[in-house]
Amino acid sequence: MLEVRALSVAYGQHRALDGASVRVGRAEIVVILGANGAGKSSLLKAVAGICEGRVAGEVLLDGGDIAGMAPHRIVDQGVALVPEGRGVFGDLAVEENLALGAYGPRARDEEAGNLDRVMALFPKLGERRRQVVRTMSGGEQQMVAIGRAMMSNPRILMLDEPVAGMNREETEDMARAILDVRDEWGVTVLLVEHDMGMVMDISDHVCVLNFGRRIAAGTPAEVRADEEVIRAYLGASREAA
Amino acid sequence: MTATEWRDLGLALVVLVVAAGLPFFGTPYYLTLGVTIAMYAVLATSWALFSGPTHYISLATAAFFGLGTYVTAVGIDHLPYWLLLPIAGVIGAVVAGLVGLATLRLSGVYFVIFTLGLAEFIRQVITWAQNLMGTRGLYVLTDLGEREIYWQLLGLAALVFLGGWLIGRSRLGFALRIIGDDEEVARHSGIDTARAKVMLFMVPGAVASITGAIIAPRYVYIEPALAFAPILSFTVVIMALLGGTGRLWGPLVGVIPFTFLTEWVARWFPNQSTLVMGLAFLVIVFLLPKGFVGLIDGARARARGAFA
Repeated sequence: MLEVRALSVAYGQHRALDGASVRVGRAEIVVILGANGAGKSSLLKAVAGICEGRVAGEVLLDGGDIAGMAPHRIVDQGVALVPEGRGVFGDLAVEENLALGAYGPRARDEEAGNLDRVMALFPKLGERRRQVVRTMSGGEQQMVAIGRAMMSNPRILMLDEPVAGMNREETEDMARAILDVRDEWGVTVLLVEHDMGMVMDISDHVCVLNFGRRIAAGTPAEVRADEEVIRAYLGASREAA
Repeated sequence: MTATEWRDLGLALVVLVVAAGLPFFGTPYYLTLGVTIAMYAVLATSWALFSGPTHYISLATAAFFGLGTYVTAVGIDHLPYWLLLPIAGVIGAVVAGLVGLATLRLSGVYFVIFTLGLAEFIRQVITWAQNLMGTRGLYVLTDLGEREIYWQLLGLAALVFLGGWLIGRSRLGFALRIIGDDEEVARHSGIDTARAKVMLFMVPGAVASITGAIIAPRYVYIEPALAFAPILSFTVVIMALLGGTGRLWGPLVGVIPFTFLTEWVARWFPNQSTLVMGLAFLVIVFLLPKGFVGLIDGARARARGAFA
């Protein structure tokens, strides 16, 4: 469905991503794992068309290249991004943030139906439709952010560290919501995370980045057993433990 | 429409009718002040429609205004006056669209510099063209007096307020609020930010150009230094910020006191007016960083708190 081929991103002299390739199948949850600075966010931004660095490589959506397209056109192709830091508008109410998600032409016909489904996905948002977002907790704001992205009627939902700063209960709720997005909506999820705990349980495939390069890809079990991953990523925590 | 919106609309109509009666009950001096207030109300309100939500500070008002005055000056001997106003509007909108396409992808500070340079550039081009033709300026001789100019400006002000109210309720208005808050999130939310900004930038461009076309008969003799005076662009920005750009009526509550202040300074400090106005502006910015709108909203909030 989505195929990223030899994608490179450079900010001046610094190469944030160096020829990384990722393949995401329909209605799958694919996780890109890596430490801070591994190039995960750059990859998502490059796919969404909002990367400020120099981007080279191909981003194929059902065979068509979307690399270099204007961001609003990429949204209209069915690719939605929830960026790190959530990208919600704190001074707007929950319902205004959700209405923003349905701005593009792709989303307008489905606006009412998608709103009902977002409310079913996150019942808390239904109770707080008129609440100003900045007065909500971090976990609730993340629900608004994902709800806003889902309102754009996406085929692929990209999430950048969706459980950052959340407690255990909020993390489990979010994991359930992500599974619902795949199972109930049939939406593909491409997720970036540096915390292995939550994502290994819900992902179909995992891709590991290190210093801008892909060092492993496969099922969670395969990645866990990969020697290079253990050295580069898990090794540090084992030694620390 | 809600009950509050009907009330606001009724209030606006009453203000419009009372203002339209000024030529009948005011002295010529007050009518002259009325023309100035109406002109700046139109310019500052339309300026704030774009610059308020997007935070792009445009100093191009003089460029569009000057183009409008020249549309009247060049066309008055060849076309009916009433046809010149929409022509000026279209020219202003087209130039604003072209400038917007070239500059609105830039970050704010480059946009400010470009718009400031634009007025000077057009002034130089027109000066050069007039030199080739062997003239320094153009006469605009019409039967239109202060009263007719005032009513035209008042009508234009009503259209600007109506347009601003409609934009505020539209998808475009919503998009611009979002762009002003966080352009990157706006882009990946599916908003064509460049298109939205260019479309709205065309509004103050068209309005300032029509204003210039309406004002031209008042000047009688048009020359580039008068038509494209940069002080006009700065005055519009100062007035709009003094009033506050957060609400549609904000710039208007900046225009009225600022016009009276300008008159007072010109009367009592005729030789130091620029110096006194500069000091007045510094004091205003220091004491009223959010303009009169912030002051009024703050007083309202305190009153609600006191009665709660």
